[in-house]
Amino acid sequence: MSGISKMPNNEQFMPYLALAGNIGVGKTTMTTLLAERLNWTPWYEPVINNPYLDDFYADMHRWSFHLQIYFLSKRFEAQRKILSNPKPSIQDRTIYEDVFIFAKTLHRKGFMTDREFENYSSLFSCMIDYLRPPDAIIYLRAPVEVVYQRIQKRGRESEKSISIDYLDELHQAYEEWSKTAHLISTFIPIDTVGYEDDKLPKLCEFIIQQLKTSTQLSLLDT
Amino acid sequence: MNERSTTLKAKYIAIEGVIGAGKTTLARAIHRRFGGLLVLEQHEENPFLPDFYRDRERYAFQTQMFFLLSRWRQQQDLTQFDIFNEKIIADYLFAKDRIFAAINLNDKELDLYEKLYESIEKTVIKPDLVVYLQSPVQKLMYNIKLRARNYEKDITEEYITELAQAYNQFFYQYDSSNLIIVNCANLDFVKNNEQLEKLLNFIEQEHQGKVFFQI
Repeated sequence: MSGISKMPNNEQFMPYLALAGNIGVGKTTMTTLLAERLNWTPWYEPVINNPYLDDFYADMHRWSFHLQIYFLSKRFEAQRKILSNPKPSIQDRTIYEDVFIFAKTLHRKGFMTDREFENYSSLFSCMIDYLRPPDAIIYLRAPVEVVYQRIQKRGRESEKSISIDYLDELHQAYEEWSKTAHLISTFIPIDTVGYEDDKLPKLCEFIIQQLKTSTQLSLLDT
Repeated sequence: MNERSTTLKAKYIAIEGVIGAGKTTLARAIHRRFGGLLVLEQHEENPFLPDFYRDRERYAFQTQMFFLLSRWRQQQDLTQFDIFNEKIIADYLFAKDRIFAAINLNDKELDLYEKLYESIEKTVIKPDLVVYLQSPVQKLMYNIKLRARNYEKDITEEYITELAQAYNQFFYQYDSSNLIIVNCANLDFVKNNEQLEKLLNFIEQEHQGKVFFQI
């Protein structure tokens, strides 16, 4: 007998998909569509009740670290819950994006200091041992202009002040990450341009086709 | 491992107490007597600590996050061992991080800390027996001066008093394992061998819930 196993000890894991992509690209909508289509459990990003969001917008140097620890903590908790979900799961945004997109961008822009970023990253490294990566990450892509339009159109209050420059920086970080993300999991980039509103179910079907060809996932009667 | 180890009833013992209470000394003594795996807390250099002493409010959260990280890393090392067959004697309890957090963080930060702590705690192996060394502040101050560790030289009596209160409160509510509260007021397990033997014999037995030891 060896020491404590770091993973929950169920041999047969349930399928687990995740959607990645820039703010406004349409992850939440697609999470809902896929979850309904496949009859899987959707896991949405917690956007309300974030205690440090207002502080963060008021003074980004002072509160970036707190905000990122909050997100990391929430995502760690969620991803641990997904592990023991008795049904297959589909997750709206991964912990990897917190680290490799958002924290990294804040660090590059100087809002997180080197030692803060190092502390944050080491914490994430410890967490990794307790997390199972998704079976596949679907990366929803769109040029920044398209993403910006989608954000304006959906009019979420908290997103109104997001600049096109910031979106572009995130986009660059995503593009960079997409070169190495296959090391985490099967990585499937999906171009979403032209798929708006009533065309979204068509995109959903396309994603399912891609999953069938790129993964061994059991997608039931699809 | 030494043969007498089978007589120790607890499988994983953690010693706790305020800075200067004699945690490491007692852990070593238990290990000498009963064998097993001795786990000593490593005091990594915390890069936020100098700033924290300068501006507590500004750097408390960062400082605490580093300690949490450092302690978690050390706990992860424990999972490499065959803990089902080997006794563990540790000179700290992972949950001590929480005592320090409660002192140093403001309410909003503590809220955030507690949520993260809860998730992390689930990954940590818990002892089945904790030995809490409860010492008078004067005695703690004397011990701290005596051992003259460099990173402890700025510790004030006021801080130790505050810590002692926080520790008492923590262990008053503690029920995650069996607990021996050792009254150290008249106890000297460093110089007095007879007293040390009494304490070791007490620790060796099976205990349920909260029990007290005093000389």
